[in-house]
Amino acid sequence: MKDDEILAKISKGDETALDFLYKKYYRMMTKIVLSNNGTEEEAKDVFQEALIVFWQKAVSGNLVMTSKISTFLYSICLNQWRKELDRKSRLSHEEKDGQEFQEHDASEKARIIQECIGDLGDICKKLLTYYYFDGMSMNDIAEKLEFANTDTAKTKKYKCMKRLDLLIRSRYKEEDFLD
Amino acid sequence: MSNINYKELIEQQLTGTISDGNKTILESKLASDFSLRDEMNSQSGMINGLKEFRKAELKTRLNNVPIEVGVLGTLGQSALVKVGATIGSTILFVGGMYYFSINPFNDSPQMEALTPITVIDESASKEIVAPEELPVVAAPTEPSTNGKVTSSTVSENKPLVKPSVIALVEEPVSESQVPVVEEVAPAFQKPQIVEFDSDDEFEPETIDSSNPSDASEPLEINKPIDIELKSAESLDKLQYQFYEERLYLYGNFGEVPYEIIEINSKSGKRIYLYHQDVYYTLSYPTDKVKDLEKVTNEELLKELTIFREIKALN
Repeated sequence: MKDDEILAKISKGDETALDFLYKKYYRMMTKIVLSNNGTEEEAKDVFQEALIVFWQKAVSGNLVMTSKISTFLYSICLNQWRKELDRKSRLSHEEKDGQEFQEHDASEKARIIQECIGDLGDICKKLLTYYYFDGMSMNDIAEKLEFANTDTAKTKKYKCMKRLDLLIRSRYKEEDFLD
Repeated sequence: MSNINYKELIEQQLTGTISDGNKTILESKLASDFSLRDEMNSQSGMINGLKEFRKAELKTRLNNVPIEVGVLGTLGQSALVKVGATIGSTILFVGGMYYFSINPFNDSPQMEALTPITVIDESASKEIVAPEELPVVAAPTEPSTNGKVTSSTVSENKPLVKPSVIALVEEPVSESQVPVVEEVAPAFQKPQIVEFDSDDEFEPETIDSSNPSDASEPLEINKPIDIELKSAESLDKLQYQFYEERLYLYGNFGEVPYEIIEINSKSGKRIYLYHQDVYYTLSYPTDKVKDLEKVTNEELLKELTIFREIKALN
């Protein structure tokens, strides 16, 4: 599959293009991390993050390719690994005391939200994630999810957000979510 | 101001689509309106949660994508190889059927059992030849010199090498004119189906067997190779050192991606480096830093190119 074909697939939200890229460049990209003191797990994580960044940019139509996809992924992987190394080195110097409670609280909130998202219906999950994560337009979402038109997609999005909000509030007291 | 939809502004703020003017309006409102701030925090939590959810979904998908290790693994999954294997199997099957339909019960011709004929026994040869019972087949070796004998007959129960011998019976021949047995080739080889059990069948012969100049000795490396890029004295010079399953590359490798091509075979592993359209042979172990040696053998270059193309198809 050529780069143009891959981009065309991704712009339609076809995730098989993502599988193809992952398989094709796995060894090349993970070597960046492996040859710079990273573990196999870290290498895999860096490549997956890079691929997801690429996906987000391409699917939302915010990507202007001036190089090959492999070059683009290569540079994202390099940057991701540099950031990770910086983060590691900062962590080793920072005092972690006092932050533990806040971190635990935030992760608990995140866990609850994930549970509630999991309880949404498939259509709601797809609609909201396509909109907020993939950055797809309402028009594209309407087409992909086979809604009658863009307005239907907007109405459904509103209702889904409302439903998620209610789910979250029903499980926990409101003050738990206020900082 | 009362007509402003602050919830819409929050949405725009969280999706990064808010204008500078609206951002100022929203920030001033948030400073005074606590309930709106709560609303924003709640929205923000949900959007971040949705992003994390989708990311986890995509990562799960990627984790389920099978990753092939090494070129042979990739080849094993290649559609081309599967098609090739199917065609090969079909040819073998059809060949086998053809072979057994012609010669159903006998073994393949026993070349080594034949000895050069020095005395011609006419009566014996007539026993062998029974033209009325036998199909006519073309003599597989040299044509007759006098033009009289252009074809011969052969028993279905006799090895295929016989016709040329029988043809000679019909004309006076000297000892020196008797065909040499080695010149007689059987119609076809018995199929070797058993060899398809191994993946090595898919390896190009040039790489696996003999390549005196470019193919280094098979390497005994079982782990994945660690690669480390080192700065070189001269950027124009590409060098390497390869020991303890770690490959050190010296030179300008940082800017242009390179590829390591591993060829696994029964005898071991051969490793090549591909960088800026050039293939290099890697030897192992190399205690000292060496210049990279370009692969010059054209057949090997073709094979390596095919490997890369097949790998790229996956």
